[in-house]
Amino acid sequence: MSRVILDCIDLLPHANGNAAYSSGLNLKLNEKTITCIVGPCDSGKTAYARLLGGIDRPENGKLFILQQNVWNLNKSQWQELRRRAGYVLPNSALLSSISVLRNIVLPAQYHNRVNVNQIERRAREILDWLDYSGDEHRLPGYLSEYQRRLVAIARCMILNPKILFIDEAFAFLDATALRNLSKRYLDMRAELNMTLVLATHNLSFASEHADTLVFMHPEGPKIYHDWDAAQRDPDPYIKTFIHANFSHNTGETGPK
Amino acid sequence: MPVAQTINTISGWTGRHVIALGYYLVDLTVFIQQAITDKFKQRHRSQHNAHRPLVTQIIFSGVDALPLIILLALAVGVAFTSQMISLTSEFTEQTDIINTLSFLITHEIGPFLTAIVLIGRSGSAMAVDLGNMQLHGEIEGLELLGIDINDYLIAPRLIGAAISQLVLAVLFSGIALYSGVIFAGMLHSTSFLNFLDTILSAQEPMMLLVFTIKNLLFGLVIAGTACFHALRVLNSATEVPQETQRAIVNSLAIIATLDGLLAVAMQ
Repeated sequence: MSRVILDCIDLLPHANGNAAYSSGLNLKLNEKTITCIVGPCDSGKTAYARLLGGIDRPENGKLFILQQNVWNLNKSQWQELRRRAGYVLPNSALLSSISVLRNIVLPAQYHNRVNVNQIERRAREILDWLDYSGDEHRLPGYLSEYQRRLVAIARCMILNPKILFIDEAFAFLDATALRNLSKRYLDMRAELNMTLVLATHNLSFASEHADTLVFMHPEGPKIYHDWDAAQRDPDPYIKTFIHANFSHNTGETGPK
Repeated sequence: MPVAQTINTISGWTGRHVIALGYYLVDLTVFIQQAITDKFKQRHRSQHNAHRPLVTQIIFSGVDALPLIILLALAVGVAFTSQMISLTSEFTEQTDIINTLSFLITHEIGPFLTAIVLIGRSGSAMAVDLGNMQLHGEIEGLELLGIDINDYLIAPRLIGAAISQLVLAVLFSGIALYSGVIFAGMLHSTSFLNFLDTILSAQEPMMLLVFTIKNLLFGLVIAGTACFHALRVLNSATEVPQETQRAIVNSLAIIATLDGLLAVAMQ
């Protein structure tokens, strides 16, 4: 039986002047799964991704990541949790003053993992695995959006996390980059046994590969455990969103 | 009544600002103390990794500031020390002149001018650097990797600035005193060169201790204020120069006040 990696009960974000939800999120994520948080712009994908990632405190509810009650952790326990629960921010948030390689080496070096040469070797392996084609000695400011994204993912992967949250998982990517990154996400699940939580607009990926879909609905998040269930939902909001996205991108209504 | 109303308004305004100032100073002190405490809590980190940001900060705040400090110290030596010696040597004992000069330069002019250089160079740079990091989510990115920003970003800046301030003030004072005596000897009379031997002996251990504490405190305040304001930046790029300006002005005000208070305490 798969191990539960993330468990949240009645998780409700603070309204903060944006959308106010009437119902909380109840979700259990097993290991080796991909969960996609989907929905239109400003529907609260980032708010929920940050809640699930244990970054922002909820208005209400409980969150367990790797069997730990996130909001009961002290500072050092929280830091320890962050080693095993990676989070890639929407803008990648790499340190602009140090090179790509140093960005990736830094967290492992900070957490005292073996010696620098070994860490650098491991960092290069991860970059190769991600098919990163840029210069590892360049500053992040000189990279393309796609390359920055890969480096941000590599920076999390160097700590060997069990679960990885990626906000705006496919933003600003062309078709080739999108295809490559999709493949990497699938490899992370299949080869590295990781659990992924992706906040994305990309319904194509979500419909084909997500084990769980969290759909941002004005009344509160809706959960579907397969794409067919989402398509069968008679809710006009869901239907409109799915139809608009697929007709916009492909002219289809999603995989059958 | 208009007079009573005016008095009320003024006293209310004064009271609000005094309370706000009190809160600000408490927040700043707690911020600095917390950063230093967190640094020592994270001692298990590898030595190489722990020292790297600190060394970088000392190079930037200390080593890179050397040319400016040397130039400033030479200027003070020529303009102040040599003139004081040549003007007062006719009616004052050599020991008194050196004691007075040592006190003024080592305990007042040296630390204060060094602090101003440190505020202008490092305080502003720290505020802009950290402010931009905060603006672009780089600091949050580090925290999400389990990196303690007090340990990795703040404490090295505080300790680096404190060490730099101390070393630069020692250099400044030494250069300003010795160069002044040499200039006075070259310009007026070679007998002034005898002063060179007495400069070191004029330094009392107690005063050296106060000098050390004062400069370390100045360094902590300068870097602490810069970091404190930088971390107040939220979402807008305009907040970076605003907070930088506040950091510089507040650093200057705190340093000037501390300098005055310490001078009074030493009477």
